[in-house]
Amino acid sequence: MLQKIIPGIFGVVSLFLLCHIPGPVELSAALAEKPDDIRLEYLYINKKITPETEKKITFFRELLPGGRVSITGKIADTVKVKAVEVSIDNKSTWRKVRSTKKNTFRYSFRAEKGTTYGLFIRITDTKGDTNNIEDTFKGITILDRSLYNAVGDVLNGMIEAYRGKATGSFMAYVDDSFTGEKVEYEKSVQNDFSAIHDISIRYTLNNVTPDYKDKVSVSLNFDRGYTVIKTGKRRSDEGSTVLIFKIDNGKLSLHAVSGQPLFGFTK
Amino acid sequence: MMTSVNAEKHCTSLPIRVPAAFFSCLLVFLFLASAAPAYAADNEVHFSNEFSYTFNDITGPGGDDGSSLTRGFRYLNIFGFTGNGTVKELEYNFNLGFKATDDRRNDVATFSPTNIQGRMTNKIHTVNAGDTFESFSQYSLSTAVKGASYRYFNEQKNSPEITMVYGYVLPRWDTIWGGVETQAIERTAYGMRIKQNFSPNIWAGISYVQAKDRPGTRIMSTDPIYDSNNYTVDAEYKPMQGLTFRGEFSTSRTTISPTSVEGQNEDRTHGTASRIEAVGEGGPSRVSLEYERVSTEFQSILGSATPDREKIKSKWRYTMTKNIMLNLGLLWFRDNLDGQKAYRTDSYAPEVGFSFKNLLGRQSATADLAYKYDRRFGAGNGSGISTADHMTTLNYRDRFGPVDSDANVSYTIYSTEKDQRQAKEYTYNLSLNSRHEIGEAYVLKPVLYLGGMTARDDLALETDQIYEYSFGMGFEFLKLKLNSDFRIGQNKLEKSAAGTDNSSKTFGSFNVYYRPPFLKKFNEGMLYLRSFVNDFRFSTQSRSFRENSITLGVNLQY
Repeated sequence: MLQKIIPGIFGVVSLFLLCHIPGPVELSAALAEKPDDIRLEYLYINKKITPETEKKITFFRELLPGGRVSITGKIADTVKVKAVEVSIDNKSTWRKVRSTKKNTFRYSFRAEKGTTYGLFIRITDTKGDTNNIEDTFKGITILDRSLYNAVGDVLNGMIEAYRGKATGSFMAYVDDSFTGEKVEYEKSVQNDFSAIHDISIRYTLNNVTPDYKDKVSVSLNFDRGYTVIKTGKRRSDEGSTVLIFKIDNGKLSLHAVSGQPLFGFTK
Repeated sequence: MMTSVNAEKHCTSLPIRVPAAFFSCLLVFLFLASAAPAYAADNEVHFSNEFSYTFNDITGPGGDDGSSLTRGFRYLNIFGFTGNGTVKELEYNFNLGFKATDDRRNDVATFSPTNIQGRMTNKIHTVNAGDTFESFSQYSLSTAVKGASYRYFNEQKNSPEITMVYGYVLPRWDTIWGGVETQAIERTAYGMRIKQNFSPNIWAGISYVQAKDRPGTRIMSTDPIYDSNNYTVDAEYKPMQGLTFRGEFSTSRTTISPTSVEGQNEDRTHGTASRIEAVGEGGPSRVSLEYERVSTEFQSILGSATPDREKIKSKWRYTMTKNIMLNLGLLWFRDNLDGQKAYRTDSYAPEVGFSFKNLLGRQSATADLAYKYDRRFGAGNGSGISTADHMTTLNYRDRFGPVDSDANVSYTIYSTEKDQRQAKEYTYNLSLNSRHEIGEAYVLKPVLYLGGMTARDDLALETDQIYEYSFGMGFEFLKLKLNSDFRIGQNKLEKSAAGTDNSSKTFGSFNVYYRPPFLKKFNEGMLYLRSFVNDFRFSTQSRSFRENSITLGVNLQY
């Protein structure tokens, strides 16, 4: 009986918390008071919507279509737009951009590796008023390293944390959206830490394929050496696995695993 | 399989094809590099090649079973060729790569393509060929294929986004034409998805995917052969800034042929999966709540799902003050949705964690403290036995003068009823590292590591103890662009149970990385040397062995 009740109570508590988040409510109220403000309704950078609070955006150069960053925005319908200008060099220079009848605009530029672009958007209405330019700031960083190298860095970090039996550091590489359930995965890895020690892992990448949205599929071969604590015997094995990483703001975190488990394999 | 690996270990002769493989790669690399500047300004190509040559020596009676190295001289070459650019209205990119090795621990094949992929788009039509990864949704498709995909999406007209994909679900390219060692079940994937953005805040999609295995390609007679169809709808709605609702529903119809033995009936299954998630972000809080139900017979061959599970998951991250963050979470799930198992398992996993900055007024101090409880009624094995595990972890990072410290402590209690398991584990480690600049030319980086684990089995009254200590030093010769490091140490496993082995490993490593001026053109190309010695000693002396390894390599990028 208790088992049936607890999820219900928990669900109610969570819904209560969900309904008591102050941010969005305050924002809606603020918008309602100033309907004529010159403001952006939304801003997409490479088809990804960017909330006002997200000021730093990071991309891998090779995942940009044609090596270009494209910006799509919509100005509030209440604004009679006279001009839209975009700066990608921290307001040093401005470039005029054509806006449509629906108050949308597009701009794209070729991005270089290892460069950070300071994006600002200036909207001028027919009265000559402009928007709050500072609010539109986005720091767009194009990473210097390739996705292939970034995958290697993340795998090396995971292996280092796994070898050191640092559960917290290891799980920091696993995304909250992990499809096999993050808590379960942590338990499997914890089982490894109880069952084996002196772990060595070597790997070679077979394949790194991005979906050009927010994920990358990584296929690899590995060989593993470890001492079984229960028997004290040294063992080695090898296999291949597929790991899917989520890419968020240039950071990779483990989203799914298929094939032979590289970590969490003892149970 | 293992026989061939062991046979490889005894091969110590220098393979004649090594220089040929290396020089072939180098010639291709140099040819492409010299041709690159002629390319148009809006187009770019990059090459990378890493060649390494390793000598492994394994001595001692336990080496064949215990070592994960392959004896003798071995090479590994990884080559990559990427490009992107624009031709008129078409944006394109491509990615080609291959791997060559004679070390079967690196790869079962001597030569194998890694990436073969090309992509073209005019911003409305997008075609991808070769390695293709289209992720539709969690239940439908999130698997890379060797094949092709086509996507139509006219952003300006806000048209439906239509994606079609076809290909083989194979782990590697040489499975298509390779021999016995790379063979796999031939699985074909077809899929189509239509997604419509109704407004910037609402979208919905429908997907159909089919995974079909070819019966004649079983590796083992007991390999199941699937013919599975998934029909999925998913959607996302953002009613206000900071609040997102997501949902997905999928139904699967699958035919499973369990073995190649005649007379074994095919199993036809029909299952459903659904999940809904709400995420709220605002002010100091981020709250997420998720409900999922996956029926026992649901199959997601190309996506991801755990059949026979009903779950509720919730997380609350709350920034209490500028320096303290609270993380609360609860996961509940259960199985036996169709009532066919003898016992139902209910699992409750609450967790609470705090992250501290500027701890005790120290600007450099940060700490994470977490407690997790894992309570299972039924334990998921049909035995009806329950478990209750507790895990507490503490991580503390600080800087004391020139020394950075990172300390971890964890304490875990495992408890399984009916005297099946009563155990405790303590894990602790401390690493200290520092950096000292000598003039403008040299940097010294000493590292000290101390760690261990004690595992106490309260039923068997046995204790296992593990210790590890090591010391290392890094050297940076800034003007020479040369980095080097060495590390020496030992770890020990001491057991109290009779008939088991105590063991120790004494280890040392030495590495040098050099970026010589003559490789500057190749994106600061690098020469390197890596070496290590591991000396394993066991109470049973026939298990002892020692492995020595030295690798020379060159990494070029253009």
